[in-house]
Amino acid sequence: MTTGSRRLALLAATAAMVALAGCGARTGNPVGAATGTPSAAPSPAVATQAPDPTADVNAVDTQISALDSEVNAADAGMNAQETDPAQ
Amino acid sequence: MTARRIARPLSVLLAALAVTVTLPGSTLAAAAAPSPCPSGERLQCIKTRSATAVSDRETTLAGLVTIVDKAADLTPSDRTALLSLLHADETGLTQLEATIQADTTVVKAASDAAKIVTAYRVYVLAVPQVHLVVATDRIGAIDARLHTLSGKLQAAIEASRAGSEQKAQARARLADFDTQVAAADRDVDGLSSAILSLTPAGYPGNRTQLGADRDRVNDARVHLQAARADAHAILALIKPAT
Repeated sequence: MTTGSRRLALLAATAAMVALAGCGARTGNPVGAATGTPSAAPSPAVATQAPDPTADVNAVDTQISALDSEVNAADAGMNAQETDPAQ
Repeated sequence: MTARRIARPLSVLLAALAVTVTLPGSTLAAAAAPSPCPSGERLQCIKTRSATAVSDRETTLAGLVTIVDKAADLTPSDRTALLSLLHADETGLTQLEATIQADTTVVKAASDAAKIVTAYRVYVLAVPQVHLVVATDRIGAIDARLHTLSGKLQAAIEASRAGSEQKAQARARLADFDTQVAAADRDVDGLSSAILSLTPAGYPGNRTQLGADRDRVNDARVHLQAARADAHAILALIKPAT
């Protein structure tokens, strides 16, 4: 092999390695992130939508109703009379 | 008279009966005035009535223990304090009942029987104490939920497609909502400790304090109801037009 052809072969091998490295970079982790599923990112419409507080309001309704029962039961006790069993 | 006209008073009567039956302990029995014991059978009469009085109170106390066990919003320290109070009453009444049954004189039996009322005050103190402490802690839990809800309502108002006037009204209701929640917070601050500090020995002198504590619970309840009305109004104001 002549010096010229050796240089040509070396140049071709270097070019091939550079090309492979480039492919590797594109198919590595960073590339995976770049080519990830687009739907994973929230759409602007979803991102700005506030959660519906209706369920929380209804839950509070239930708790306050239970509170009414407790206060009424306390009132019943406070209005009771205790008599001495010995009388 | 239509069937509906008959059914309504009937349902009211049934509801009243249901309330009477589900009251912890026998409030009606406690209120009924007994006839005097016959002079010749006084000792046995006192013992019999004492056994009934203790049994009724033990039933009430067992019901209160169940209420405490099931009260999801009770703080651990209040739950412990209430159960300690109730179990001490149960133990004390059982011992007192044994003492009365062993008494040999009318004077001693009458003196011991009076302690069923004066040393425990189950109906007039323990019952309201349990319900008021449970109510106080429930108010605390509701308050916590409403604090979180305030942020959600704020976000919902700003994200809604309601008109500017509706949004302005909703923001005003939210401001009132926050005011009401803060007022309820203040009403019950330190309240459960105050209620738990009341003792049978202090009764009836501490009845005024018990009434004031009950009023604080009710004030908080009124504030929570106002906050609830605000929340419903906000939801109506920002509800998308269909």
